Amino acid sequence: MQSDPQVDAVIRVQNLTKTYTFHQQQSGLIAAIKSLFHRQMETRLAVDAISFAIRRGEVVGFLGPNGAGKTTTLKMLSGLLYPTSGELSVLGHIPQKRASEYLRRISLVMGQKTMLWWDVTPMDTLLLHKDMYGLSDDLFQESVAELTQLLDVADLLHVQVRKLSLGQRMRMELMVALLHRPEIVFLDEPTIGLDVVAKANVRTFLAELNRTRGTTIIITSHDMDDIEALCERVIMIDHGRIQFDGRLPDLVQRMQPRKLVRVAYAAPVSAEQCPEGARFEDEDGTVLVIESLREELAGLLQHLGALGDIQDLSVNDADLDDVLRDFFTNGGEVRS
Amino acid sequence: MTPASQLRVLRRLTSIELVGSLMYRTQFAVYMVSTVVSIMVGLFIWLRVGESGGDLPVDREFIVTYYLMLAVVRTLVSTWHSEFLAQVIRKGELNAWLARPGSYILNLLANNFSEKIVKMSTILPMLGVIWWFYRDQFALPTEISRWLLFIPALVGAFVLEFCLTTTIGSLGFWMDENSGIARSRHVIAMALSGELVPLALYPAWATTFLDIQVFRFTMSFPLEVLLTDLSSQQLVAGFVLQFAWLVAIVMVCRFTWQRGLHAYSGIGA
Repeated sequence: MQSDPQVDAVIRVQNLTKTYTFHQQQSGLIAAIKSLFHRQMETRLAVDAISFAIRRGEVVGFLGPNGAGKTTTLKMLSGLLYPTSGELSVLGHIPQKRASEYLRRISLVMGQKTMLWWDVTPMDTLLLHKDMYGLSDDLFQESVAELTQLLDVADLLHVQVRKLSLGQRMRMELMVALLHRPEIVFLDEPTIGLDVVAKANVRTFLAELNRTRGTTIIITSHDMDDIEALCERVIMIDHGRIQFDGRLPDLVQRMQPRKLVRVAYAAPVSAEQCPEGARFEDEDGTVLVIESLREELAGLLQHLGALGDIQDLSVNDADLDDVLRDFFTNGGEVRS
Repeated sequence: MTPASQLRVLRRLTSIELVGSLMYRTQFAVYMVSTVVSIMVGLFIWLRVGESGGDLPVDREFIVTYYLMLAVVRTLVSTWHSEFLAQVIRKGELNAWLARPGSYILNLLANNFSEKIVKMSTILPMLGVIWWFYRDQFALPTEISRWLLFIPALVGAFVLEFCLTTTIGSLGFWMDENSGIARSRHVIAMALSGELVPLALYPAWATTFLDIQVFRFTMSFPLEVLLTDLSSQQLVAGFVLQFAWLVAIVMVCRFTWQRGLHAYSGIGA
């Protein structure tokens, strides 16, 4: 499913395509000598005529396996790469022209590339960004105070960057990237390499940023917890093409239409009375697990309630990692 | 960005880069020793040739002053970022710059300025020692007009060098390895810029070629303006040629950079 371009969209993409050309490198001495005289060039289609639109204030996750084309798409949106063909408009600008007026309204955070200088303090980079983005003294002070509080980095501003931990550095990367109050933030694997606590901090901060400032956030991540915590909409890309564009719960429902029901009883229940497909999770027959279609869930719960005294009950969607694994091993086909 | 804001960014970047350069000051000091040694070898050879009765078109005073000032001019003018720039392009490290309003070229300039500050602070004491031994033969011009002409010739030489180096570095947009080209250019430049041998010492039949080729204007020309009695006609011709080379090289550099950005693949996240 792909959404049509919206009237109030801040990002519009139409038939966007990107191909890379590179030479084939064979191993071995003879191949190396041959390549001196004849190089075999190859073209790879990274993004294949994709179209979508994103409205102001949306948080959209780009999902896909390695090499699917999601980072290439992000790079084109942020103006790093020239598209091979297609139309692209972000905030009314053509990103690859890299006009200052455009770059002042966006920000790009790359989990594997730093915007900080290693030999100086984060404050030096913040002051550089103040000059680069033409921020007034008042706006700079206000923004630094706000972000310092939100990211809890007051004690890190004057520490040499090379002495910061990965989690601390990522918080400073976010601070530097958001200092000029961009309208759109592109995040490429922002939690890569972070521990559980640091990841949670980054997610909380981004959610808060979207809520308070209405910032549009486009994120690529292999961490499904990032996507679940932040994104109301996901765009699945595989082999350069959009395979799904819609709400995350819709994707889960399509890929895994069954809910997982787990019931813990006060006393063992009779196996003969259990509905078909149910299995016991323990040996004494008190914890029952069963999958159910959503439309059959009400009847099933009624049946399970009649089996005995319920101590605990949970009804969950399938795990998102499982959904995606299923999605990509099925060649990117969404079940209808 | 307005020129004023670019200057502010350049100043800020230079101070940041200076902190980084100071961390490697020992490495710079060693590098500057090698620079001084290589220049002194040239000085000693030509002084010896003169003492042995060689028929040189310049006197002992010119040779001493030329080589000592060459060390200063070379430090102020030389740029060395071509392989570094190509590496930044190949590793996708340009990404962080392309998403910001500040140009990466400003960062390259800041890097050059900061390293020049550190290098000058290490080379000047070394040159002071050599000057002490040859102070009787060292003679800088006293006419203010020569110094006033020397400054634009020096700035032009730096801009030429910077753009040549940036152009070769920009080949990293297309090539996996540009160090061969960078080193070839360095060797050719050493021979033709007056770094290895003052251009005045080349045979007469090579004069026309040496006078118009680009490398003369990256090092020799500022020294000629300062240390030799160029006629008004020669000065005008020299500055016109330097300006013509400047326009041509700046255009080539700009074109290469712009085309390179089209070809950029931003590999590595």
